[in-house]
Amino acid sequence: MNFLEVDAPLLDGVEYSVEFETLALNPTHVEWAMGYEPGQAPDPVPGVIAELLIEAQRHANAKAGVRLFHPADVHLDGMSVHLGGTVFHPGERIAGLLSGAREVALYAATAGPEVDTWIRAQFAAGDPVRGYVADTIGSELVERAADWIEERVIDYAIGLGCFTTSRFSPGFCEWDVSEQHALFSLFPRAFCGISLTETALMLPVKSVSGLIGMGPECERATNACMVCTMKTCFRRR
Amino acid sequence: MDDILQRIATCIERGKVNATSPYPPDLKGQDGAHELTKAALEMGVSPSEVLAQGLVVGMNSIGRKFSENKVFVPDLLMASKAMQAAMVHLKPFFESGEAKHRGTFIIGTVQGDLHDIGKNLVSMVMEGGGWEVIDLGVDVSTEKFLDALKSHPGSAVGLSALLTTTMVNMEKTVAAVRTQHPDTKIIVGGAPLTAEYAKKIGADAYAPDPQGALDYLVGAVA
Repeated sequence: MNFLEVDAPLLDGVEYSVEFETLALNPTHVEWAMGYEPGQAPDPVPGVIAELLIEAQRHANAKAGVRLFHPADVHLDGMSVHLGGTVFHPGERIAGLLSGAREVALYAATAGPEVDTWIRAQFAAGDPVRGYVADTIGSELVERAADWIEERVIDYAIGLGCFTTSRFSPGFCEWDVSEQHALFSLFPRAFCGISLTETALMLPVKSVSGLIGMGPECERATNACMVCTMKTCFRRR
Repeated sequence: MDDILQRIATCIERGKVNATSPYPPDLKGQDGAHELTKAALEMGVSPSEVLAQGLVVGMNSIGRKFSENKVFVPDLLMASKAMQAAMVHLKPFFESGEAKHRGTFIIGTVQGDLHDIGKNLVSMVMEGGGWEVIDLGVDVSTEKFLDALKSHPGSAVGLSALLTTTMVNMEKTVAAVRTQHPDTKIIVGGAPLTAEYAKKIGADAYAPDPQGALDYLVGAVA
């Protein structure tokens, strides 16, 4: 696997392994993801988090990568996003936020199949609190892997004299999750080890995908939840 | 009697499983849901009273706080663990018929969807609310829901989905249940769902959280 050196160019279609230490996941992140303010999770949750973060290190096998689409292959019309010959319909709201993009990066990231297996084992052991903490750690690992690849995209965009939009994913806001199939059709086969079920569920389950727009006028939403119309989403803040 | 039932409710709400459980720290060394439920039954408190005034009160309280974002999933899971410890003592009375559930609730994550945390939380709150829960698991076909209704006639049904692609499978299941068991109460829930969508596919209710499912069914059978 490749490791991206500082100042190295972001390579199109290349999978990068992301070390657990690089993801820098700490107990506060896990508490926050479960809804608690830092230090406010009740016992025994903090102890379980500490224990499982150590275990997670042995199972994490995070990977991430991008496909880069340049101006000749990017067409935006305010309602849809055309990348080469593939058309996405992310909804008016996301399409609007992407409207100034000249280039687009499609990204995928995963915590790895071993993390899915580890989470299932925690639930199967009969303690749902441990299972849920492990599940939350898995979710945070993959989000941080996506943060890592997003930072590489931001560096790439700066090199072009561009800013970036927020990350947008199928299933977010008004973007139908079934368009995962179109999105993954633009990646190399089994990119980052991720496959899709018929219902567009990513396997490993702890995987994320989406796109980032790049352009001189692009800007990131300060709170992506304020953009989204899914008022009952479990990740809403 | 009221005191021990209140203590049971507190143990359920705060996740105090038994005397050896060190959590929560301020109840360390004290009896938990396990011992107090056993003691209440030995004192002659009826199983139905233990259920209604102990377990249900405790689970309703934590369920409501969860709905209001005052507590979070681990708190609910710990309460459920304490409830299970109490249920061990009530189970023989349910089996003998001396204690009765409020009703039977069949629940599953719809076909094509493997997410089960939300579904499990609903199961726990429903059980703590005095319902017998038949959990069909994840990726449940319409046929499996119909088979369960055949085995447990008169049950209510809960359908869960986390993906918009699997949410559409609810419509097929709701239609089949409506055709074969027209009086069945059907609740749907999951991140992409809305009350409007629930209405559109013919479900009786949309539950935004576990307590919402319980409140709806308690109202529906009252």
